[in-house]
Amino acid sequence: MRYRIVGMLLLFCGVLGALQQLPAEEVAEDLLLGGQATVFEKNSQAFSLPFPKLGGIERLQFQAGDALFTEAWVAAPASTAGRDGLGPLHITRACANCHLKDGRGAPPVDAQDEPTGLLVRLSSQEAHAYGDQIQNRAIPGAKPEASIQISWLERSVDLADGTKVSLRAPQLQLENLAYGPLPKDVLTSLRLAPPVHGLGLLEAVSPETILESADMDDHNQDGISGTPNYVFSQATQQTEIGRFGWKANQATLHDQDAGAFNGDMGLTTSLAPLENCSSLQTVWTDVPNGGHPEVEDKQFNLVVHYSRFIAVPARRDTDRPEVQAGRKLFFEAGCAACHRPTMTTRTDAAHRLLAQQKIWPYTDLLLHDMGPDLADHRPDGLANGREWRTPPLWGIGLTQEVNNRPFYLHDGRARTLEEAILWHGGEADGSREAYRTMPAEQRAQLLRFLKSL
Amino acid sequence: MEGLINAWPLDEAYIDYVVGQDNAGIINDPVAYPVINEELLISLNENGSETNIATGFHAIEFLLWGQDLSLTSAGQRPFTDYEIATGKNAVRRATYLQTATSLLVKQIATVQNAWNPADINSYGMKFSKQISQEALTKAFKGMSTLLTDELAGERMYTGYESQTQEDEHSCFSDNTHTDIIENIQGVIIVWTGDYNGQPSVGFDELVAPAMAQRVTRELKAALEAAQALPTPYDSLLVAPEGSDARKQLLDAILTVQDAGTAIKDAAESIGIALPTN
Repeated sequence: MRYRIVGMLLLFCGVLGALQQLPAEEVAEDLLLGGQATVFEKNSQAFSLPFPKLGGIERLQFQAGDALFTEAWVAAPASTAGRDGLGPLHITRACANCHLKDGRGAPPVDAQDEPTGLLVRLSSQEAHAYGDQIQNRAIPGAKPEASIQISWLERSVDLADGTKVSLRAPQLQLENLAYGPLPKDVLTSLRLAPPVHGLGLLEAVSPETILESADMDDHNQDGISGTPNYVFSQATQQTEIGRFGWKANQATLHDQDAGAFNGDMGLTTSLAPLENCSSLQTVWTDVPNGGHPEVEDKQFNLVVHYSRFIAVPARRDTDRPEVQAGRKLFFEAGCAACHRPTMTTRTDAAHRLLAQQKIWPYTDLLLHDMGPDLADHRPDGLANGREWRTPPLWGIGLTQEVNNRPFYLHDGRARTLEEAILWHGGEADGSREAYRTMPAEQRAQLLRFLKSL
Repeated sequence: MEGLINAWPLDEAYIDYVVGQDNAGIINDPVAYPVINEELLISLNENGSETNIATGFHAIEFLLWGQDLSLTSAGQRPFTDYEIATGKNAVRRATYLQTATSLLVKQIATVQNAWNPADINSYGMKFSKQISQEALTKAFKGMSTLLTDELAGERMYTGYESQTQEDEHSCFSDNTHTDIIENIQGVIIVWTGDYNGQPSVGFDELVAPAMAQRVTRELKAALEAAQALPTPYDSLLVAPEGSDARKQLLDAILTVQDAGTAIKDAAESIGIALPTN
């Protein structure tokens, strides 16, 4: 607590540079995970706050964007004309229903429940009606594409000291298919809604900075081959380096937000002007829509503004010896090879508050082979079926505070950070083994470090 | 607790019928919810969505006034909604209203008891024993964020931006101007410590006189700006671009935001950094 206050006072004195000159045990260099865009809240609001320096109209616009992120859209036509156009096919009615408290989604607790914050991507070479993701809900008069049933297969792994940890993997079943059978070659992939804090900072990292860590052919022979995904951006109308999503398949927040409005809520935007129904789903050619586009540019830009300026919570307990020991172990186990601790945002970012920030996201934004156990066997852009983008770790220690029941990894299979570590494979084999063979005290220290992020 | 008392905004179709959806809501679904009682409403509040609000001030407001479909008046829910002979599910609606109201009374009593000076285990008494840095941080954060992010941002600017009636804070009763004035008045009471003409110790005494005067001045300006807004409030929200009414509303919003910023500055002037800033 004492050091947190020290950090805050320094922040206000505007002497950020002085942090480096303090002894390491006084203030951790990565205390301010989001640079000047760091807040010190550690309750359920921790992922929902604006950049501290966002002021005036821009701060008010953040709140207006938050309202659009939170409030439910309804089917057209409706008396709430500003927010109609939901569906006809959709997964949910509001952004915040999946990004709970701006944090992460959750698999259904009850197997009978239809998931909300966990979606199914699919692809096939054959013609089929379902597009690239399953919409498991629909407005009255239309049929949901399918019911998503998830069951879990539990298995036990042994740590080197004999401790047993139970891991579970999802088994996906698509039932009540309303628009014909699935093609035989269908590939599916479950995707958990990720937390949304700090995304504006990640967008402001230059491609050159991301590529510093890329090592596609593993020239340095450390077994780690960070690979960029390249995707076409509707926003910039050119191919860009991918940085958002579990497979880095979105390049900008405009693309990400338009994709989510369209795929998850059935709402059109200028960037995604067509309903998410395929030509084989003809039942709702006569279903009313909510205007062209349904999400007006002004509204859309407010949501992008919101997702751009959500601050990052500061680290906690950085003065504790077990946390400091855990941080050392994190580096020694090689975790930092993919969970790149720090980078600096570009000088010519879209907004002065996003520019030249030394941030500590603990991600390289690159794709890595995570081994057969995590593989979804479904290519996505340049990402192959074993590759996943390193997810940021900043704020991960507050998952419990924000989301009550935490779930980690792309499909929410991990119920604890320990389970998440033990699922790591492929390029992360060595790091996982390092954890598996640590004495209990060191494992606790490493987890304690993650909890401080 | 706060979510049960004052959650907002509320999706009215979660509770009762709305225009175009005659059978919407908990009230009109006796199959899924055969018995309406306190436990049910608590379990349904914020269930599945942050706008699935089943309890609190705004649920009661909706059950009393109904949807506001007019720019010149508040909602006009017909009394026949509660007449057994004419209102569909009238008894269930009445039960809902009574249940939500008694629940609110209980919860407000809980809040009052939390500040009971006679109970050494009450929140208020524990709060007064916290080290002053922590307690002051909470107090200043409460005053500052209520004005800047909550009132100026969520409750006022959101509607200014969307220009739609449904983003009015008390959108059923058209009582929003009172909400805004009383919110600011509440902060003034805490800041000055003066209540009902009785002077007392306030937070203003913790800071240098010039800073205290600035905050008090800005709070008063915010209050006056809010009091000067024309009613009903939703007529301001739909005022056309470039109109005087729209400009007056934005000026009032910025004045409220400035007052919150002044309180943040006052906190910093005595070495208190707000966790949100």
